[in-house]
Amino acid sequence: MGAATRPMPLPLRLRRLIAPASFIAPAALAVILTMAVPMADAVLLSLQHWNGMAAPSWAGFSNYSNLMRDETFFRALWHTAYFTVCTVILQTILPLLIASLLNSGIRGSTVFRTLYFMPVIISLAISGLLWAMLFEPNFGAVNGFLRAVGLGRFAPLWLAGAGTVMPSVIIVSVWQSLGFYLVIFFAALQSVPSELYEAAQLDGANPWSRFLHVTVPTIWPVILIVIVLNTINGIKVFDQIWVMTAGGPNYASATLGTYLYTIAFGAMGASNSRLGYATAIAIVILVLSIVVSMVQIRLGRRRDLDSQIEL
Amino acid sequence: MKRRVAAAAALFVVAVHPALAETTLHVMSWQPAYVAGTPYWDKTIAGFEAENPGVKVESNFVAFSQYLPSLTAMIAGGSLPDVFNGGTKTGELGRAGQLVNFKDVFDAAFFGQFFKGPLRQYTFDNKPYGLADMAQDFGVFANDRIMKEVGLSVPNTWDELIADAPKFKAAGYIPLAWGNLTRNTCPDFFLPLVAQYGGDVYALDDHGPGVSWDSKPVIDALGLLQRLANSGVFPPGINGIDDPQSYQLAYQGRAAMFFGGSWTPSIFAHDGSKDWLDNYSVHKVPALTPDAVHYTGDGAGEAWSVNAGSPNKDLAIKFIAYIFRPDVYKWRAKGLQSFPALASAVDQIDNPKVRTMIPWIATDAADHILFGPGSWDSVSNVCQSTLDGTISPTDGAKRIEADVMAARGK
Repeated sequence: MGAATRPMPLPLRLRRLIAPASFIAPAALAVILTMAVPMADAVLLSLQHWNGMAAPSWAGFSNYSNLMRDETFFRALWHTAYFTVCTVILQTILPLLIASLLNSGIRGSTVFRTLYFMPVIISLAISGLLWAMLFEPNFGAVNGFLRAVGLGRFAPLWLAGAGTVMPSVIIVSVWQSLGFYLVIFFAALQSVPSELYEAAQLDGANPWSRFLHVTVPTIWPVILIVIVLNTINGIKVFDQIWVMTAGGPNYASATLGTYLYTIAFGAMGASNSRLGYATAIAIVILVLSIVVSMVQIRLGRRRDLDSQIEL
Repeated sequence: MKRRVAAAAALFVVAVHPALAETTLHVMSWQPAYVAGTPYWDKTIAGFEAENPGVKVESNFVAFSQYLPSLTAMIAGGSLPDVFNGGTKTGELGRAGQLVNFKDVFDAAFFGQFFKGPLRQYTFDNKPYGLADMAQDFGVFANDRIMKEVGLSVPNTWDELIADAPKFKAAGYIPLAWGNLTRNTCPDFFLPLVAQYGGDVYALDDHGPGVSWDSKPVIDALGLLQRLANSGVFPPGINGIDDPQSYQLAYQGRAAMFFGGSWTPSIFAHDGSKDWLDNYSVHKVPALTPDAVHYTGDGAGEAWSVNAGSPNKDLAIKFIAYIFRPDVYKWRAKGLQSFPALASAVDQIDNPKVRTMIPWIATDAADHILFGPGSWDSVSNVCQSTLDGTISPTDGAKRIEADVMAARGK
């Protein structure tokens, strides 16, 4: 065996990569198999017509162009945006304000935190069903109360009314998730140095100014996370609305998620599955989530940068 | 070592020998009673397993609300059970060759046992791909206490119902309760109205020559539906009320009448309030004129089909033959107390309300379940828009026709 036949040693940099790569490989493989492959398959399916029974046929971009002419899709898109904007605002501001209040040292803070958190431990399906019964317009407890106090004339249809269904599901969403975000904010507020508040107080800042100029900038990264989480949850909302209204009445609460499900699997009794078209809606939801989250993160970083420059 | 080898060999023989191995027959339905623990279902399964040693029947219940999505996923994944309810997919699956044509395996005497309507409903191109488990028709269930209090009787015609609606409402009652949140009840109510106006829903569903959804009977039926809705006959927010809530309207004495099927008396018996159970009676749905036919939906919601591609196909067919043997079928009829699909089991029904409804299938039956691609979606969408007044009857009929055509690629 001469030196000429000996295999060439791998370059040092490549050899150094072998160990970390072998550690990462199993997880990467799992991600590729369970996420990347199905996602690529979904993109492919969105370019096909398929009813689940016959062989799929190539559709090109017709599923996407048909979406642009689909009135119900745009209604669902509008409801999704409406739900997302309202929940992002309410589910960020309300828990932040309440967390600040509880962090200010008021008595019974632990009890209130526990009470606010309790809805979080109830499953969405169960709380949705319970609220659907409470909101039932004819014998539900909410309208029952309104009638009992002489406000029966103003008792709305809640989930059964086209104009009241979205605000009703938003109320339930806020009720359900307020405690979760409150705990996140409360934990973040614990880390704000009390010296900052003392210094602001010495400078004559009132509680609102301290909240606005000390609390918010200090916990801004956490607020940003809550906004992003709420946005993603809003764009992909399905379970709560499906349980409470199934997207009705007459698509008045249809979101992209519920519309996708209706197209893919049909409403009860339906017989016309359009899996390619439904997948095109799923891709739209994915793209929307990515774009909106990226914009939010970018804006958040810019604000971070601006505040650093100001300092 | 020798002992281990012998044990492994014995295990291998047991595992591969067909006579010794157990065959599992997968059965899927949305009937909540067809699960282990229900005495008459257990008896049915035990009887079949005793007649077929080495066979185990696995009953898989999927709730109605999730049934068709699950079935759709199974079809797409190519993993249909051996025996299952095909629901509104039966026609498409059968025509695609995925279901057994029962005409190839059963004789005329076997089919002669069934009521005609339910059998026809699951027959496509003269090929029965589904066999009705229980039959059904619809009626108006009235709370006699409320009717007496208001001083009205159950209306014989739709015009009478419209005229009576203000009196019911003035007394604080909903005239006729049902819910349409899940969009599947409106077609049950509306499609027999098409028959009342002279239309043929079977022909419309198959979309044969000379029929179309934008024809006069459909427009007239949508017009009547809208008049009923506008007159306040139905509960406020009907499109947002689900089935359990609509039952509660009857149980809690909020509604004078309830629209439901022949399976509802057995539900009432379990869930109904005392007031409702003590006071309810059943009547035919109103007609257009006093002497007209009171067309109401007939057929069957559940029908058994056999997966033509199943490795257990022969066994599955044997199972179907067994569960429709009159001596076996009567256990289910007796247990469910629902309208039986076999005429021989009528004497098993003790519930007087169901017994009242059984003869209507011969005199007032009309189709109310759609199987054609796109039909059910199109009709249920327009139905709910008609109920909330967001579409006119003429535009609604045109919309159904256009949507059905689009779904069928015509």
